[in-house]
Amino acid sequence: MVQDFPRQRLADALVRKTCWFTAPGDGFDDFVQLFLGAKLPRTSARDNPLLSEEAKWHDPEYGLMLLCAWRLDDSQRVLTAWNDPSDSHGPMVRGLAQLHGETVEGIQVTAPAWDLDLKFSGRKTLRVFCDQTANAGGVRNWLVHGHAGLYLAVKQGCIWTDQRE
Amino acid sequence: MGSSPAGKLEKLLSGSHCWYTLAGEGTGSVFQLYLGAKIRRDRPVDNDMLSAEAIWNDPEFHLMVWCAWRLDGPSEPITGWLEPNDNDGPMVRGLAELEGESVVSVRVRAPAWDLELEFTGQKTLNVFCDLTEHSGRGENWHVSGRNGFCVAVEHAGTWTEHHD
Repeated sequence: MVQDFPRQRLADALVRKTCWFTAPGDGFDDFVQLFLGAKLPRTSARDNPLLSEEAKWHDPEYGLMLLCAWRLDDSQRVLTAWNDPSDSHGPMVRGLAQLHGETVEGIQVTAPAWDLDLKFSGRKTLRVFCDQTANAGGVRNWLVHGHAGLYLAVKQGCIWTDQRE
Repeated sequence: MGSSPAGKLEKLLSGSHCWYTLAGEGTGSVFQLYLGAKIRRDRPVDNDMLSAEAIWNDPEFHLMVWCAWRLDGPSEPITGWLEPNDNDGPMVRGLAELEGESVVSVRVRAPAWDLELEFTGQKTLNVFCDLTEHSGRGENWHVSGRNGFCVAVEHAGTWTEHHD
């Protein structure tokens, strides 16, 4: 049986969650992660100098990892994209930092590849373009994981799963 | 330059027949679609990788894409820009599925000017403008035609139109 994409489950998890940190590029194996929702204290700090103090000492309620092409737009212009330079004061870091403090207002997931648009307050939209198609070299396009057990991934070939592998 | 290239492209490309796709080894992920009428050349193009039709005919419109793209079928992607580009490989074979199809609709989405071309056969070409002013590379996509006509999306969010 072909299951419908769990859009509502994803929306229930992410909508009204605030982005409080973005971890781009360098040191993150070339993927970007958004830290969303509550800050959950850790017992020990992460050993990663690229993280903020908050991100060292807290896990996000939900993490969104991007392993495919993406772009961040506001209503008028492009703010940054996946292949902008990811150096620590560069355009990707500065661009993604514009999401800090913004709240997810809506999500859109589009078949058949499960492209994801996340609409944030401040009229910003994160557009995730699933380019890890069946014969491409990557493993995943994007995934959301949460402390409440949520796991949702769009794998290579644009196949979605809610089962950890 | 107006506020959006969408209207003009919709008018020009809607109904255009795709009669050739050019991609493969040596061009990375860059590809071209040959759209609309076949315009007979006086002399053949000197490129033995082209089909006989493409050697002897120019298209009414060329679409050329440098940025990220994906071709979707009704239920799953057919191919995309990261797939192997060997001459009998998945990218070339996938794009060739557009040959014989016609453009049903054209959408160009602000602010980056992503392009979505819907074809007959329930196929959709999605062009995602990921080359920004910071990414160090030039154009995302362009459509060119006769008499020097060209609509180009250079850095994501910036488009130009040119006529002779």
